[in-house]
Amino acid sequence: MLALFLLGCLACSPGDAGDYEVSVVRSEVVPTVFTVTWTSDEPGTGRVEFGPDEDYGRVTASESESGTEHRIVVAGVPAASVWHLRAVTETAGGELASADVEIESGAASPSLPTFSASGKRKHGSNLIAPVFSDHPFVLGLDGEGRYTWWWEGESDDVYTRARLSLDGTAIVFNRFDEDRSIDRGAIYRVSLDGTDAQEIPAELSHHDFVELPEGGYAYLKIDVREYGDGRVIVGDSVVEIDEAGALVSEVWNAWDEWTPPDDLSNGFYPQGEDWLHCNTIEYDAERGVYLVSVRNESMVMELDRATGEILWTLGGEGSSLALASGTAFEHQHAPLRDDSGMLVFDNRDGESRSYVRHYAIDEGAGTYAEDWTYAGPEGNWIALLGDAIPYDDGNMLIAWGTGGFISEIDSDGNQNWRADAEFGHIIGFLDSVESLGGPAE
Amino acid sequence: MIGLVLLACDPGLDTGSERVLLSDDDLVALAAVPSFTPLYVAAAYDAGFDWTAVTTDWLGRPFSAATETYGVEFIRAQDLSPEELALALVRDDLTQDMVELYGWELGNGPYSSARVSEFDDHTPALSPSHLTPGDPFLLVLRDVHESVRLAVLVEGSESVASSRDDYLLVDGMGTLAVTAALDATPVPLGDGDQLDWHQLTASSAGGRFDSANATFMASVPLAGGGSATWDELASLLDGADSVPTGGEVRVDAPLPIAAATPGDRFLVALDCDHCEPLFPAAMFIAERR
Repeated sequence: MLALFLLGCLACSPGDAGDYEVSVVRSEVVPTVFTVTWTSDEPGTGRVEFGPDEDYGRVTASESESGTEHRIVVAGVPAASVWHLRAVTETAGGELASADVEIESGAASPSLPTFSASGKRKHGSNLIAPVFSDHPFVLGLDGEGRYTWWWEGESDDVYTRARLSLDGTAIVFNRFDEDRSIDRGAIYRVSLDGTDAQEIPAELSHHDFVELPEGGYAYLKIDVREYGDGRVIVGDSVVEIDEAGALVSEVWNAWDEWTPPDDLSNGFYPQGEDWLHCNTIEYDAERGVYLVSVRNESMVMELDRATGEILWTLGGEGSSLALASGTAFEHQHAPLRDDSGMLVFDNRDGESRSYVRHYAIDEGAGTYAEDWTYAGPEGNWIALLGDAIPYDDGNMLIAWGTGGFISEIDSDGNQNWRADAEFGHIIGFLDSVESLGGPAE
Repeated sequence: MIGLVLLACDPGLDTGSERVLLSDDDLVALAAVPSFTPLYVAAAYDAGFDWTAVTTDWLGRPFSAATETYGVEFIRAQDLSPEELALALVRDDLTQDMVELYGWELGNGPYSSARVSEFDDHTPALSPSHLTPGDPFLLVLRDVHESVRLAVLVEGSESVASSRDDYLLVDGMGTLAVTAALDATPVPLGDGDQLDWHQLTASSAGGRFDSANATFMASVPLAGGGSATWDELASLLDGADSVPTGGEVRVDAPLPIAAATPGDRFLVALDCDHCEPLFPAAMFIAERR
């Protein structure tokens, strides 16, 4: 049901109240998202302040261009909640704010997996989390484990990566077949209000993708070939596609670099032997390099986007950087570069627990060294997935894949917050967003 | 505690009516006690289980397990007894981290039997070697709505021969005794009042309240208080009037209450029509103002 609230300015006080009506329309698709429109007498840039009471506490991004017609998307309100907002116009003469408007968000879909949260999360007012069991979901979760956004997929599909789009107007996530038996590879781009959902074909994609600054995407693609004496091997490549899914280029292909070893496992890919099992990709636009995790080699590599050249490999046999001290990661996920080195979710290979580790990298010396470790719960080995997002103050958000929970730790390793998914649900690769919403497209 | 919120800008309230804010203290509490007759199977044996003989669910309701089972699970929790695990399932607050091992089949039912080795598509994969003495599993059957209809305790035993093929499940191997406390403090409701449950956090069964599981509101006249068994409660709710909530967290008070005589009492349940949970998400007693 569409909800529409119209509220005149009831209590305009000079200097801080706009003499305008505000229209608030709740999305029919994602009933936690509201589109706020108003007209200001004076030209200016609009934004919306919102929160659980009239102190607000959150604010959308501001419009970039001055005008009198304003249209802002408000997202991040928990489901089934009564919140407040006001529209603010920043003009040459100062800020004008509307009267307070009470808004009611709708209930979430009953089919969404529930989360039990404890503690207080410091960062990321909204987590964007792909979660799957027999159905896949992308969920926005606030600090109390309440849904702020959701999208439900079809049975037998899997979503493993979700990100806020680079322009902040959409949630972007991937899809592939649960048992990889058919090619269902696609990237979805869904506007925050859910009314514009684009399915972008991403042939033979799996695990992860990244949005590119100039538009389009790069993703991990399997490349299945017959090899040797009747063997069928599943290799990997990194390809780029445009915004419609047309192939732009193949950046890198494992078959051009290496030859498969004799002893490979079967099971993950029904098409053949699971050779490398690449599982995450990140893009550093400033340096023009991709960072790719190669799970089965317990190795991470940096690729030059322009040439496809492997700049270095870290971990595994034949690592171009040598481990100077500490423990090498095994069967890792989600490596992430920073100024001093690299953070990685270290699943381990069948041990009793998993870890998040940081390694200092000295490319000049050709070495890497473990300089920080966080151990996950004993007895809870994370066999699949896993992710870690660091914050500037030393806090960190960790997704514990098959363990089905997400936690935030502080710089001393103390757990601030934890949210546990309902039984049977697995957490994919996260995005952490301080503020959702802003000027409508 | 009953709260009253009057909002000058809200067009939904008429003069003299109230917004009645439901809280966890208003809930009718449901107590559930699971019990099991263990099914001992050969240790480390790839046991098969057949439930074609099961005709009632663990609440004693008719349940043709062979034709109504659309989800099958084997679950062993980290630190919960089988009874605690069953209660977590009942309350729908079992989290992934609480589970030590599990396997399931969903979506392609109905299922009438299953073998342990068929539950190997999760990680760590469940295998017959996990059926060891002292480490019981729950074998859980769910219906098409994913409601738990039966839970059976299965444990490996060295004294059971491994020559048997399928183990037959029968009625009564798992039961769930439920009692509803109908002596909760009534919530006063008047003509034109609006019910608001956005602050509810707990369910009547003691789990977490999820407003997504409140897609309709049922109300039925209530005579007397005390406690009610599940059969008595179900019988009562069978005669209830229902109104859809439309996914909102505030609705007008149900018509039968508005039209009633002051002092009349009603059992009101917030429930889900398409997810059909084991119990209504929230129940409370309303008294006509």
